Amino acid sequence: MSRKKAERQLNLIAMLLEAKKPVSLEEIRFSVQGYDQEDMASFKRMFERDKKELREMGVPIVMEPIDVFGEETGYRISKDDYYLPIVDFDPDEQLALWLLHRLVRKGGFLFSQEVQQALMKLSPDLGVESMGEKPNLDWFASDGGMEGENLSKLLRAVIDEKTVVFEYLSLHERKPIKREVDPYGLYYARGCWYLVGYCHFREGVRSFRISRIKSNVELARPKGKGSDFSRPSDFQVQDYSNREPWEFEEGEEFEAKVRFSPKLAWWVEENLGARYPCVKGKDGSCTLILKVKNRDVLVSWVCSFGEDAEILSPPDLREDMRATLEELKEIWQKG
Amino acid sequence: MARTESRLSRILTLIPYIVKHQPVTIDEVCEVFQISKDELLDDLNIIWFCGQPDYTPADLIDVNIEGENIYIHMADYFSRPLRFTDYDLAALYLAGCALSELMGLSEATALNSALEKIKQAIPRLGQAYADVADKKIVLHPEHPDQPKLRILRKAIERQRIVEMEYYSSGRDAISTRRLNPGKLYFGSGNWYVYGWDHQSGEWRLFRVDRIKNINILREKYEPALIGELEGADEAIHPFGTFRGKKAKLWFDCSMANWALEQDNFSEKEPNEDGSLTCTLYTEEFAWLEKEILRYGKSVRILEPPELREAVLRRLDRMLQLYRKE
Repeated sequence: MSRKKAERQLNLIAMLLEAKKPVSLEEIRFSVQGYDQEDMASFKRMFERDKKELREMGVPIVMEPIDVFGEETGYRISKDDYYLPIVDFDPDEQLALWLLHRLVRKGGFLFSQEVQQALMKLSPDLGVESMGEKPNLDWFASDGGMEGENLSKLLRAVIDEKTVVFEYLSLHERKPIKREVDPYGLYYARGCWYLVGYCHFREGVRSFRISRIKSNVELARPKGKGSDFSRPSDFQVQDYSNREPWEFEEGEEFEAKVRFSPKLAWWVEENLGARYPCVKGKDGSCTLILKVKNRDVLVSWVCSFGEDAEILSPPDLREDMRATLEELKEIWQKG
Repeated sequence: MARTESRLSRILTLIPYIVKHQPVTIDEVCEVFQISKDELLDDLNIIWFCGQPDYTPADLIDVNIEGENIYIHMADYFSRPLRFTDYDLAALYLAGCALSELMGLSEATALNSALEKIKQAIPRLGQAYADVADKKIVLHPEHPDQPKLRILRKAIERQRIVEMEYYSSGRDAISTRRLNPGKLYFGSGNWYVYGWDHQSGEWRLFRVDRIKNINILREKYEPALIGELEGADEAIHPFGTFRGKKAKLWFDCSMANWALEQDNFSEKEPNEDGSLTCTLYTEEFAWLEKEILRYGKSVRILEPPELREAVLRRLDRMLQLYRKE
């Protein structure tokens, strides 16, 4: 069954690519192998399905008038629109693309299906002699599963600006809640993929961690043509992706100074030094000057460094920290 | 993508690949397209029945298999692959960025110029691509480990021993160790180096961001050791399977969902009131003491008592910082 279909669709593409002028439905029906035995109604259904599938794959089938009077229309594929232009890669570029190919096909990388598809299309221009050695780096294998599929669907929805629906389990809810979201963008930060968009349920722009989506992502208006929404012109994904956990929502922004002991100062400097001013001490310690909106998150983060981090200012935050530690001590002493 | 579709799109690329590089061997095509010999022969069989109307032998695509070699003729109209969709191109761009930004590869320059050539070859899609690239999808941030990764790759390529100052979060201490680096892995936002550790005499995984200093030594290591690396790929995981120490923790409902998400927690048991009890196996407790402090009031240590005492001692050390004025 699927084999017959592949043959028929391949024949259809071959014929429409070679056609000198648009081909009428009649002609397609009588000349393309695979359509010839059907009656007109079922042929039309089959052709429509094939046309839809091929267009989704990116085959540019167009409908045009056959003659100057425009009374009869037919179908055609323009070679210029169909063919991937020849790209002339030099040997280094070929090697780099093959490396990408090898890394992606293992499946640990999300969007691997789409990337593989794209790299396959480039393979005629690469040539196997440039394939190179087995790479000495890799992704951890991941099963991808629903998360991978959802990410692919979201990639499409982001590009086409289509509203999506899914069940989302936020950290503070007991059960997943159905969300309708206009997807503005995707970002990868701290090892996770996030969707950022306008949430109709919360009536505001929110970030969603893809792994917390507990259902398949579906289009809200699958039959709708064109885009479902338009993104605010001043929206920038970076405004969300750049944020550290203590920069999210909550209160007024203020500045905090945190000192790190020599044991971990170098790590802090390497990982956060590009984002915040970092003053080095003579003893190998460093003081980071942070922008904070969410006090609780910052306190919890500083706690995770144990005695290797100390809040220096502002005084009220320092006092908060001390009170938190006293309180924890009381709780832990009880058991 | 449905099976027929992905098969058809493969065939549409298989033909131009063979036409351009022929004669090509069966093995080569299987390697490039990641398919089995049977799948390839099936694909070729489909191609063999296709062509232009009226499908006489003179109209059909001519597929020849001579020994190991494949030839395709009479398929001029399929001499180029189908061009990219917006999705192909966006994903390719993303993968390219992931490699050059996250991985900081020495190949990044070549990769970027390849992507630039693709963009220029397809002006219409180039726009969509730029749109996705600049406004809609962000891989972030540029990985700070790039210089260390470059050193490690060089050491791996030359099979040289490295000496590094490494912060072990497990023991919460820095030590100097020697390593025969074997391979680099990326996962969960971090880079790891897998190598044979001289100190423990074992293959171990080290997080690259926790390497404070690294130097390549003059000494080469026995390449034979790398043989053990083959096939280990699937078994290597950042959380490993430590069984040394065991802690039982309780999380209140504000953190129960979060705890459920953690791959390194096991025996997760949700309670009636929405809280969660779970078990954690680990090699060392030092990191866990700090981690527990991060969870604040939302966590209790059920077992063992020495972990609770260690957390209390740490709390005292932290409080000393705040009692001084």
